[in-house]
Amino acid sequence: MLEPSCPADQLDDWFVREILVHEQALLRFLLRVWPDRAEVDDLCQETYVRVYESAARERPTQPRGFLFAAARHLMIDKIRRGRIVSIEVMGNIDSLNVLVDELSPEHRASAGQDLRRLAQAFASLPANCRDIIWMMKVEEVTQSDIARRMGVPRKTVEKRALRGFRMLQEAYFGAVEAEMNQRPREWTRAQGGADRG
Amino acid sequence: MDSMRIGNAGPLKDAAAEWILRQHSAEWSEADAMELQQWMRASTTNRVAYLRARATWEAAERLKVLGAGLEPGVVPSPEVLTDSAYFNGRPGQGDPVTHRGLARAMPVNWRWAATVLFTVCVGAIWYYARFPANEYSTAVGVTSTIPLSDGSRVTLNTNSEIQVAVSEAGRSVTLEHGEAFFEVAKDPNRPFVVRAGAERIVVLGTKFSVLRTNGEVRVVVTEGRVWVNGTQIAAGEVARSKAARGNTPQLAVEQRALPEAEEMLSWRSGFVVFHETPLEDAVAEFNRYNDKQVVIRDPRVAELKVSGNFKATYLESFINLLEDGFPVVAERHGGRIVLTARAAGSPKGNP
Repeated sequence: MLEPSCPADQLDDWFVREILVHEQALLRFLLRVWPDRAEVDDLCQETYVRVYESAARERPTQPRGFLFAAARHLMIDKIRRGRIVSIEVMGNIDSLNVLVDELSPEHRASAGQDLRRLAQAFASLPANCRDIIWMMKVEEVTQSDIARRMGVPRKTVEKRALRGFRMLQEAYFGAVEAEMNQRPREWTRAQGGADRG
Repeated sequence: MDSMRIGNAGPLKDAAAEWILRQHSAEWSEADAMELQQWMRASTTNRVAYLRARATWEAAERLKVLGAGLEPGVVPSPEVLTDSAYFNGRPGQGDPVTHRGLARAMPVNWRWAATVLFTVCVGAIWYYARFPANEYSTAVGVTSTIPLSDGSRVTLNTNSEIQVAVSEAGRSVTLEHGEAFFEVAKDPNRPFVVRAGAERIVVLGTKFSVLRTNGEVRVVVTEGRVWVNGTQIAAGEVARSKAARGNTPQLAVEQRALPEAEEMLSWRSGFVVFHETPLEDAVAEFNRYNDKQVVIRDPRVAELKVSGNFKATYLESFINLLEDGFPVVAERHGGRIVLTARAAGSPKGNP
């Protein structure tokens, strides 16, 4: 990893504030564009890595645009490397120009909307995970005490806490899971398009 | 840069979540903190995953807001949480006052509005009586919808021109050049006639488009039926007519699936759609919508097949995509873009 030229803390905060907030839009974009749904999470992650490393050298002035451009370049690189040259995928990637504006409503969510998102994410957790997260975050009970209170082994609490926290994360940031499962594929992957002509 | 393995994201998110939970447990030690630092330094992938988990953890701090006023040990139900008063606006914010204020102001506003409206109407009537607006045209790259007085609507594609004559006596539109989509209001007593060069398209009420280009007229019907020079064309059918010099035009009718016919009209939302379309034809289509013209210099390039939906006016993006995905090089010469085949072994650099 590159050593950041600015204090890492600042960069981290910037990253959370300016980049991670767009995760939902980014996921939606990737889902719309990329043929293999199973790879979308990884694409998202690798896009983050690229943006973070690039921002360590120089902070982009338009973080959102920069994020989407990074995603686009990443996909184009992958298409080249994988020789999955489909102008259709490329065309979809290029609909980026249209999409960036279209997908922006959550851009600067107000504190109230943010709280609502959190409440909805939290409400979507399974009951046993929800209770544990609540006790940890709101009542600040330690995991051992939760285990005692609930009368279950500490390991169980740990497991549920982890599961609940992971789900909370996805629901809070991504929240496109439902779309991922419902949306029919609009098109299929084409192999070796460059050679078709 | 970290290399990416497929399916890496899930386990990594697990690991990051685990770090956060450990960090906020009672057992967290200096040694653990060092270990976390090491883990984060190991790769940006780890660091980013950690940041994401930490941001969630910090956001969850605000659950306390929702828990305010609840008995300890009580976890609110999902309904209570999401229907919380926090999200339903603050009560008692004086809506009635606003209404009353509006009601008082209304008469004054209405008088003004009526005066302005009257003036505008009189002006418009006078203007249209003197200068009947019966010529419409669009510039390159622009589409425009024109409502007609009989309730029909005409949508003009890029670089098109029509003359409209709609009166009690009859309805007629002449397509001077370009392409137009007609949504004709039903009126059995007043046939709607579209003239495009030598072609005469007659309808009573339906939806169809007429394209006039290079001496050819193409009619696409998406609803109902029309008569082209007396031949009936139904929805989903495409009629082409090319007037050979001095001869009567020959009409060729193709049966298409309706969605396919609709797709030929995707220009109405600003898109062009290709399915394994020879690049030559795709480029010709783009050239209709852009001042900048694309020229193909190589028959191999002309034969390449392209598929996809493209914004008709995003010519540069299309060209960039071609260069990205195909063995094609674009050279810009002023107002023209010349496409040639890329020599083998000279790949285009990263964007």
